[in-house]
Amino acid sequence: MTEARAALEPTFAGPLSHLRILEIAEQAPGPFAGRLLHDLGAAVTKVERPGSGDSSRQLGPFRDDEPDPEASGLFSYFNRGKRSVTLDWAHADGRALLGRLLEESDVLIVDERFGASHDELLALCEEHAGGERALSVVSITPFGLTGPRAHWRGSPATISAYGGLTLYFGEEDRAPIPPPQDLALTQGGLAVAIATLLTVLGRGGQPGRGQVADISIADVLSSVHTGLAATHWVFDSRQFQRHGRRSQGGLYPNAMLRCKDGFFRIHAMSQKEWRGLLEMMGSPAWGDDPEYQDRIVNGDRYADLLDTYIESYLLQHTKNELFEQTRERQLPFSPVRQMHEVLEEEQLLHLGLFRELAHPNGEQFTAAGSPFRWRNAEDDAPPETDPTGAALLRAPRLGEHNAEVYGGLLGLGAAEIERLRGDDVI
Amino acid sequence: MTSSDGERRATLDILEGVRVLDLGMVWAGSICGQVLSDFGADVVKVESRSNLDIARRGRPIIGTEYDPNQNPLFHNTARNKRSLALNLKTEEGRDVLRRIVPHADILIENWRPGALPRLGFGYEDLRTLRPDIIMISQTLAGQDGIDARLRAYGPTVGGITGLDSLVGYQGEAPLGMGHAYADPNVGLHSALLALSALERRRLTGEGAYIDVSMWEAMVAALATPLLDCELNGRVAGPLGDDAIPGAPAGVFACAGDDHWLVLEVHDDADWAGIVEAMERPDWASDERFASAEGRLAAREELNEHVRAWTATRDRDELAELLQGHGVIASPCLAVSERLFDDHLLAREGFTWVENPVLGREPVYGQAIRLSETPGYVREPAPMLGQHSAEVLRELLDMSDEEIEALDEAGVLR
Repeated sequence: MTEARAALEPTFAGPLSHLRILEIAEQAPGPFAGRLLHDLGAAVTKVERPGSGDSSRQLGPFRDDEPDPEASGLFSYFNRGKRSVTLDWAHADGRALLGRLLEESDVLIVDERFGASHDELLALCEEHAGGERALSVVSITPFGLTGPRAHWRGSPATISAYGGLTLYFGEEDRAPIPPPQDLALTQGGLAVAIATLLTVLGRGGQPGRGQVADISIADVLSSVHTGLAATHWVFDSRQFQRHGRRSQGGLYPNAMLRCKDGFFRIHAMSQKEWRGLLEMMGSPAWGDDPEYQDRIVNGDRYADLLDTYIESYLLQHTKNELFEQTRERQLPFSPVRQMHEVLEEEQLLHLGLFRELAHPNGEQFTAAGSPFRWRNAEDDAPPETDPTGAALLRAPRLGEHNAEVYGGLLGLGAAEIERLRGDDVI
Repeated sequence: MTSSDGERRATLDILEGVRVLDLGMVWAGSICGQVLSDFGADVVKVESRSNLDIARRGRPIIGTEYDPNQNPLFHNTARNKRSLALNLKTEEGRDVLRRIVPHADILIENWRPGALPRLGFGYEDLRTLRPDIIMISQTLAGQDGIDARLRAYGPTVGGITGLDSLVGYQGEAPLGMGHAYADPNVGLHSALLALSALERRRLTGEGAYIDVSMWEAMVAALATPLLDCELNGRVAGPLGDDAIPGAPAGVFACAGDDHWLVLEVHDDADWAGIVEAMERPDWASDERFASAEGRLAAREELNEHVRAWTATRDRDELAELLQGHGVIASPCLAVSERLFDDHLLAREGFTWVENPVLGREPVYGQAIRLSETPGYVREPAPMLGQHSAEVLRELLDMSDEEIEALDEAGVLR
């Protein structure tokens, strides 16, 4: 491998190490997709605006709330293992440079900040068709590139509202509550990563023409997350509603209930699990009352009453005591953890989920690695942790790989690079 | 079934020729196969009355008897799939599956760790039957450790991952998520991993075994609150609509029953936009509101003004008006509204199919919209065992007599 080629080569050997991804996307959805692909071995290069770069560099969370664009928790987390070059794609020289990078790339991931229409993205694929890599473009925007709301500006809260999630959370007679901000965005990111693989598989290994994937985060939420409620509604005009601590759908019991030191979630889908709960509580007499034997009726008529019966037991125990009881009885109930407890959860530590990661400035912190273990058929045994190995690779400083990529890969001379920098192109 | 079916058939489906044995259950386990089937994979759901998928149980829609063919969840996630009813508790059932595995590219399962190996279908067993098979085990928490055998559903994963602790009104005890967010989350992870393994197999000819954990995948998606806890020791709690950044910003009641608008104002251009949309009320010229810092300091006061403005107005008109002025705003859509929403319809958000039991019904569309080889809903979800004979004839060349004998022996149920 020549030094020039190395600039876009993968940073470790994984199942997708032959893929080169360019990412022109900020904050969570696009970068989370790039991160997922990096975790599978793809070489991911961020193309950032000169000056400030990905806006999540400014977002934090920062240690001790001290802003430092090379030490944002969110940026470091969503961009680990990537390369960074700076480039102003609105500038003609920048656009030409981008064209040369695209010749070397399999997939370009863009978000609304790239500002291209569906037709323009198709033209980009056309321009880079027929080569070894046959570029595809995956676009991720709040509401998509087509349709009457395509031009709408979006945010995690508004996308969650449009996608049908928000109206589910909260109490029936009070305002709905927006779900945590990262949730909508990571689902969008997953769809982008899947689309990336589909476009690559769609080439069938033959040089040819790539395609455009147009992903709307609102669509993602409205389908795999909340879409099935539409089928329910057609047959049963009751809407899925806000139910306070009760889950959507399912049979009774399906709620988060109080215990001695917090909350415990009870969710029994089968009769066996329901009987298991009653036994765990010492088989109270009301459990045999003929009135409470149909769990559909229980949910419709007696849910609040039965909740208080169950809580009277739960309130005598801590969530860890209850967790121990449900472990013994193999019941699908769980303590409601808080963030600091999650970081100390025995099973997660056993799996090695939390790993050392460095910020671009070198400072270490702990963050979640990959949620999977991958074993190739030719390996004797599965890796003990995820394929990225023990240490997570840090996220790049802004433009850290300009010299490597522009000088090495594209063969620009030092004077030319200096000129581009002087003209604010890179 | 869909009007443009013929037209779409003109292009080759990306996953045409890929066969998936889908032993995924409930919601989480079924989404991987759903994604693959939308893009043309032949997904055979291997299932049985003896171990009925919870996604086939639940409240019946027609009549009062439980019916495995009536669950809306199943109708969405099993569209395009074929159903092979096979009782793996019988030796004959296991024998049939052993004979089918060589015809499969991918096997996806979310049984408890150890359950399939005990039946003779662990990865080591499968690879002797089909050396390049890809097996995806979707687990709660990996294959070993104190809680690897713990049982959980999506909502309980909301509890153990701390997600529930984040949802509620500001300053109050948490209410929890109430939505099995962890299910589609891990289902999409599984689809990504299956496709990655297919791509690697295309290059190397080798299969793979992948264990993906629902618990870990959910924790890994909770980026900001976990990072803040790690970096600053801060334990996040419910924030209500205070979590929406900006000022004014929040969830606002509008005219009509349960009609709510989310809006957020960040920079000076946003502020100019909302002031214009509100027809320049006098209070808005207050100098304190001229900067983003000043507005943030007066967030509640600004929100009071906005609340008074939205209370008597139409939610959708307000959203259009604000977006027309460049302000981030959206209605909180109910499911009945999404089903008929012009934007979601323009993007094929739902497809109506003819279900054999329930009749015409909508199922959600495929949100990954590819320009050349789109994924789509081809067939309604199968009745339990609908394709048993078809699959056995096609893959194993079984005669009608053999199939009948298996059926009579209780193997195909």
